[in-house]
Amino acid sequence: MSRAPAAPPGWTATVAGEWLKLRAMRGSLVIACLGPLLGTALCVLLAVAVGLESDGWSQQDRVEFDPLLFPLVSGLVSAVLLVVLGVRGGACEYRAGLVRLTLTVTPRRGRVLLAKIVVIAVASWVGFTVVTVLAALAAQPVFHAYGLPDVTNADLAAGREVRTLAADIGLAPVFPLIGLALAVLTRSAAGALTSVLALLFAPSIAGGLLPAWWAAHMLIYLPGPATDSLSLTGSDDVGLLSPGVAVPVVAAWLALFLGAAHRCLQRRDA
Amino acid sequence: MYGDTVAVDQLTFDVTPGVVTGFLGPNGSGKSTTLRLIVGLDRPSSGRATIGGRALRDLAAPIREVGVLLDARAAPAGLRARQHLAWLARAGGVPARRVDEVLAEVGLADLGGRRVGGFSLGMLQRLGIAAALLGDPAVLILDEPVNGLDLDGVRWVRGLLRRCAAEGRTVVVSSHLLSEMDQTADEVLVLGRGRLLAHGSVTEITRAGAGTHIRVASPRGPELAAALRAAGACVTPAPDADGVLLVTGLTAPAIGDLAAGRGLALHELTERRATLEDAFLELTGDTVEYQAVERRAVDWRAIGQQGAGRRGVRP
Repeated sequence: MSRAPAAPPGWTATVAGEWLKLRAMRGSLVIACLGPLLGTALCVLLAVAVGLESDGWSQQDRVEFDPLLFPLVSGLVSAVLLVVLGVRGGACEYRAGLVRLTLTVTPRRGRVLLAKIVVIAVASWVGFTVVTVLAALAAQPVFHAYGLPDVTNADLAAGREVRTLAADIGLAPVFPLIGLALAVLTRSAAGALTSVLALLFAPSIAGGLLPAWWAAHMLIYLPGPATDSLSLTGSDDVGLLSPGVAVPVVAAWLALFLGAAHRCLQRRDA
Repeated sequence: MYGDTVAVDQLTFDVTPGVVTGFLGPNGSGKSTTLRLIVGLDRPSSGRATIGGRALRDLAAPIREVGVLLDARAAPAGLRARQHLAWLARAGGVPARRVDEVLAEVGLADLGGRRVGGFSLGMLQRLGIAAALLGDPAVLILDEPVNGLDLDGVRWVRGLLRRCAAEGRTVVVSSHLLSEMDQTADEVLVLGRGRLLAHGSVTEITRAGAGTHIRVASPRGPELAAALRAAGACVTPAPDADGVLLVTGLTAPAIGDLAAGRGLALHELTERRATLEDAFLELTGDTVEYQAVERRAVDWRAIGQQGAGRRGVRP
């Protein structure tokens, strides 16, 4: 049987295929619906709570209130849901042996992982931004009702708000990608999700139990505190890494997890 | 190798286009492992498997050159059938119109919008075959494609495989359903404990089986038996009829010529060929990895009686 040589599908075809696969999964649709809903609800709820307490605020408190950064509280919800998305992006391959089909269509395993990284990263950026914007829009009427300054009163001159927003959005894919890597390493959604959540919350729990030196010199280099150091840049919080240190630390953690996932995917039988 | 277990050992074979090649072997014989090695999912500790001279990962557009069905249940339950094929098509660089074409070809045209989780095993097999056909490949590798299919489905797969082979495609099918392979495969590879036990056409394999014999009846039976033994044949009396001989070691024409040369009349000269199942059991008898204890005892007795029987045909 003779035929014309087939044109090779490029890496963008692999990305498109991974996107179609992730988008079509029922869990992804649930996450896409729940994220904006819960993120907005949390933001509005906290805005009402702040509004109720604002009667007792001093003039200084009102000046310090930041209506532009307040909606970032919705990130608590979107961060967790995006981690779930990242974990699903990797673990879906192993639940029923889908990886065998994926790797016969795209035998270059590094390309498959790269495509997943691109899909999860872009979905994280878009998802985090959309939820934050929706939360900000929903919170403005609440601020207005309680006489709090709204987003039009935000002072952008110092650039602090813009930096923080950019850092938060820019860092949105970090933990979803770690979740993806752990899912490839463990081949289990439950194992990967537990590991990421432990990585997220263990430092703050352990910080209170360990000696101060450990918290200041060791735990701060874990992925959670390192990303906090970047997203909280400009705040007065002490005990954070400088951006010059935090950026390479976060990059190193990502490289470590994704590199291990790549090595595992390359060497292990599918 | 998996740990200390040798899954496939010294296995060398070529599969030719235009015929259906059946892959046979008992459980644990290395069939699926071999297929996985061919498509690059497992890595051999030594040796290589190539398709058209190249490893799968070196093919420009794998899905358009090799269609693979290894596990029908591998489709994500939450996806609709059309969505499942759509991502495969997109990742493989196959035009989107092929999705509906292959759905129609496997009889799932009306079920493209249904979630895969609600499919029966037979429907999953059809979907898996649709995925394998998506790129209109020159090579098809199907592991147990008729599992879970009803009679109509089995006949359809049989026709599909024959048609694909007739179109000049290379078709490799693994199955434990020997009767199915008997009807579908032109050539078979028999594996046992990861080694190649036999490779040849179904006719060659069954003819080589101990169950194949020539049934000969003559009014001068004892005289004929002596002549046949003198010619090197193995002759035993048939248990079901007096004066009838069962002959191995000579072909029917040779027996006929011998009888004619000695002026011996023949009342029956019939070749009774062993079935593929007979040949398979004979070939794999002592390589079966998993079997119930009682059955095992019986098999060992049987093997003891057979002695050092014929154990396969090497290509």
